[in-house]
Amino acid sequence: MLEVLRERTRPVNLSGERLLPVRDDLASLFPGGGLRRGSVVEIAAPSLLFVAMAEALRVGSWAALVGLPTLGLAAARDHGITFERLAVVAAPPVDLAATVVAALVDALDLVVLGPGVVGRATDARRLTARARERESVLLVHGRWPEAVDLRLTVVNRHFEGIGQGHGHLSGWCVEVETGGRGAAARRRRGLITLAGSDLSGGDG
Amino acid sequence: MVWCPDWPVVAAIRSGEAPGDMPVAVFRANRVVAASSRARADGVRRAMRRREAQSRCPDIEIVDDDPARDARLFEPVAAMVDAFTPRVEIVRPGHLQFATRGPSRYFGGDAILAATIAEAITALDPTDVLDVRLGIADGPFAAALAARTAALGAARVVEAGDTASFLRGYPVDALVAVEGGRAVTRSARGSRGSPRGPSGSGRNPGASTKPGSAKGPAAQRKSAAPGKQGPGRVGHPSEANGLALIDMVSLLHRLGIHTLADLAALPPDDVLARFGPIGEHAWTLAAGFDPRAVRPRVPPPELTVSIECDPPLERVDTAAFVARGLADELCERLASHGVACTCIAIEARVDDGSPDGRVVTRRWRHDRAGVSGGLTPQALGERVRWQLDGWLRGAAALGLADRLVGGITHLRLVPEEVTADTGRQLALWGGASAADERAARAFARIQGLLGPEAVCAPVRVGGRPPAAMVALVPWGDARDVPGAVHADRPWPGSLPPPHPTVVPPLPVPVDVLTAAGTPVRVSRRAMLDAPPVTVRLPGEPPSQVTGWAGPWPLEERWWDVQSARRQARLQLITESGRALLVTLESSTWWLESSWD
Repeated sequence: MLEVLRERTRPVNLSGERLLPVRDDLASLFPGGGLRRGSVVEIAAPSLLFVAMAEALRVGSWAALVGLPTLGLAAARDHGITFERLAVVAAPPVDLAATVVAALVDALDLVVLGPGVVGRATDARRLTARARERESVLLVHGRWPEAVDLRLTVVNRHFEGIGQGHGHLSGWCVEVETGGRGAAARRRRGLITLAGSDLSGGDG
Repeated sequence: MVWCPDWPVVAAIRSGEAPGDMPVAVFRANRVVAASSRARADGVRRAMRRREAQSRCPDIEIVDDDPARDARLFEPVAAMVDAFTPRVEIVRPGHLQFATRGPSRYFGGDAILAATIAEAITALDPTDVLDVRLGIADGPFAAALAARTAALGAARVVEAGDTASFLRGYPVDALVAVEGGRAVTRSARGSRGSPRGPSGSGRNPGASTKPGSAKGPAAQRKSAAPGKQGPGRVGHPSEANGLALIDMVSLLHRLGIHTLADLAALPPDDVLARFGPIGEHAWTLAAGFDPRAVRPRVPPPELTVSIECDPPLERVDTAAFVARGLADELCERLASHGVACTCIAIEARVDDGSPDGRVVTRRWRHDRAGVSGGLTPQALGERVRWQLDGWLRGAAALGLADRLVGGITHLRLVPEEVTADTGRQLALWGGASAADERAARAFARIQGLLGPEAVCAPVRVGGRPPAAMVALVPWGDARDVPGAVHADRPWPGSLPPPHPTVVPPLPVPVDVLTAAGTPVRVSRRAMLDAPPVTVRLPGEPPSQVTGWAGPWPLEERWWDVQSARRQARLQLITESGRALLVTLESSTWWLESSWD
C-alpha cells in the first residue's frame, strides 16, 4: 500500500534532467532513462508508441494522437494506456498542420504525429523549437523532415503462440535499435516484450 | 405547470422510432426510463431491467433513451404554450412552467386558462399519443404534484394559500418523484408500490418507486462511478444529488417520517443539521414555501453573452459547437461574479428574409436547482444545443408551428435568474488541474479550427472485430455512448489479447494462397482445404507464411439481414516478420489488422 502511494506521489519531473517516465525495459534504451522533455523522438512501430506513452499518461500527462487513423486503439489497453487523458485528433490539412500541432505542443506533454502530418521542413523546424521551449515531447511515427533527438527502429520481431495451424498469438517481442544525436548517438539494442508473460502487469 | 407524462415514450413514437399501437418502453443503461400506459398496465415499471420488462410484457417495443430527441419534439408544445403567455420556462422535455397571474386574468380564471392550453396542446397531436396534465399552485413543487394528480387532458387547481394543506397528505417519496428527475432510475431497484397517500401507484410509478432499505453503500458506490468517466460527463453533480435525495427519503421512512406533513412539522434547524442543504431544501418544499416561486429579478445585463453567426447556423452540429463555446463563456462570466444561473433564456435571431430577422426566445429552468446549485457548463451547453436542435429540426420535421426559414444569425444567452454560487467542492485527490484546463482549451481551439469532429475521445465499447472495440466521441460530448456498458462483457468469439496495433479503417483485399497457388478456401465446417503458404499484400511482393493459426469462424447478427456478417479469421506470420489477421468474407480474403 505504501509502495503504491509512493509510486503515485512520485514527482513527474525527475531531478536533474526533466524526463517523462517510461517502462523500465525501455528506459534502459533511452539516454537519461526516460523521454527527455523538449525532444523529438522518431518511433517506427505503433506498439512502441503505446509503450512509450503509457507510463507518462498514467502519472498524469496529457497526450494527443494526430493523424493516426490506422492505430489499433483496442491494443492501447494491452500496453497499459488509459483513455482518460488521451485525445484523438484528425489529420489537419497541410496549411493548418503547423497551427494545430503548435496548439497541442503548447498544452500537452506528449504529442504523437502520424506519417505525413508535418511534411514541410520549415514547419518541422518551428515545431522542434516550440517543443523544446514548451518542454513537451513530440513522438513521430514515420519520417520527421528534420534531425531528431532519438530514433527507435525495429530490427527483429518474434511472435509467440502460433504454430502450423494451431494455437493463437499470445505474445510478441521486438528487438529495438536506437540512434540519434547527442547522448543518443551511441547505438543501443534491447528486447522489448510487448505482450505475453507480463501482459497482466501492463494492463492498467 | 404543464406536464406530459412519459414524454420520452411520446417523443419516440412521434419521431417514428416506435409504433404507436404497441406497448413501448424507453431504456437507458438497461433500465426503464419511461414506459407507455399500455406497458405499465402489463406491470412494466421505471428502473426495471430490460429482461424483466420483456418477461412481463413480451411484445414490448424497446427504444433507446435520447434526451436530444425528447427536447427537439417538445419544442412545438413549448411554442404552443408560448402563444398564450410569455415567460414560459422549460424545466425538462415534457415539463414546463409559467406564471399564471397575468394570463389567468386575461382568460378569466386559472381553470379556464388551463383548459384552453390543454385543449390547444391536445390538438397538436393528431395521433393521440400525447397525454397532457396541468397543475396550478403557489409554487412549482406543489404545481408539479397537482399536475400528477390531474386527469388526462385536464388541470388541477390548488387555490392560492391552500398549498400547505394540499401538500400535507403526500408521502415524502413525492420529493424524489418531482425533484429527483431522471436520476431516480440509476439506483432505485425493484419497484415496490407504496400504497400510502393520495399519489396512487398506478398514476405515477416514479412516485411509488421506493429504494430498498439496505442500499446505502450501494448507492454511494454508484454515485461515485460517474466521476470516474473523466471530463465531459454530463449532469454528474445533479445526479449525485438525486441519489442523496433518495438516500434521505429512505432514511426519513426509517425514522418514521412518512408524509410531507410529518417532515414539515420538524424544526427546520434540526433538519438542516441532520441532512444538510438538501434537507433544508426538502423541508422548505414540504412546508409549502417554495423558494423558486416565480420571482422576477433581472440580473445585470453585463452577464449576457451573445455571438454573431456568420455564416448563419443551419446545421445542428455546428450550432451545437457554437452553443458549447457560448455556454462556457457564460459560465465563466457568472463564476467571476460569484453567481450561478438557474434559469436561462436562449434568444436567437433568425434570418427570415426581413431586414432585421425575427427573434425567438425560449427559457429553460434548471430542474433540480434547489438541490444542486446552478447549471454546470455542460448542462447549460446541452440545453442550448437541445433548443437549437428543436428550432432547426424539430418544428420542421413535424411540419408544425412556425418552422424556421434560413439560419440563425445571432445567438444570445441571458441568465434570467441567478443565485449565489455556493460552489462545488473539488476532490482533494484528482479533480481538474491546470494541465487539464490547458488541454481542454487546446482541444476547444482545434475544434474551432477544424470542426467538432476533429478532436475525439476514445471510448471502450463492446465488440468482436478490433475496429469495433473503441468508439470515438467528439471531445466534450458525453462519453456514455451506447455500447460502453458492454465493454467488459465477455464477447465470445473475439480473439484474445494482444490486440492488433494496426487497424486500417477499411479492410484491404489480399491474396492468401495454397502451395498450388490457388486461394485458400474454408469449408462450411470451418476447415481449410489446404494450409496457407504465401500471402500477397497489395503493392508488395508475395511473402512465405512461416506460421498460421485458425480458422476461427465468426457469425454475427445472423438475425438481421442488414448487418449480418459471416467470416473466417486466420492469423498468419510471414517470413518478413509480420503478424497479420486476415478474414475471409464473401469469398475474398481481407487484411483486417496486423501486429507491428
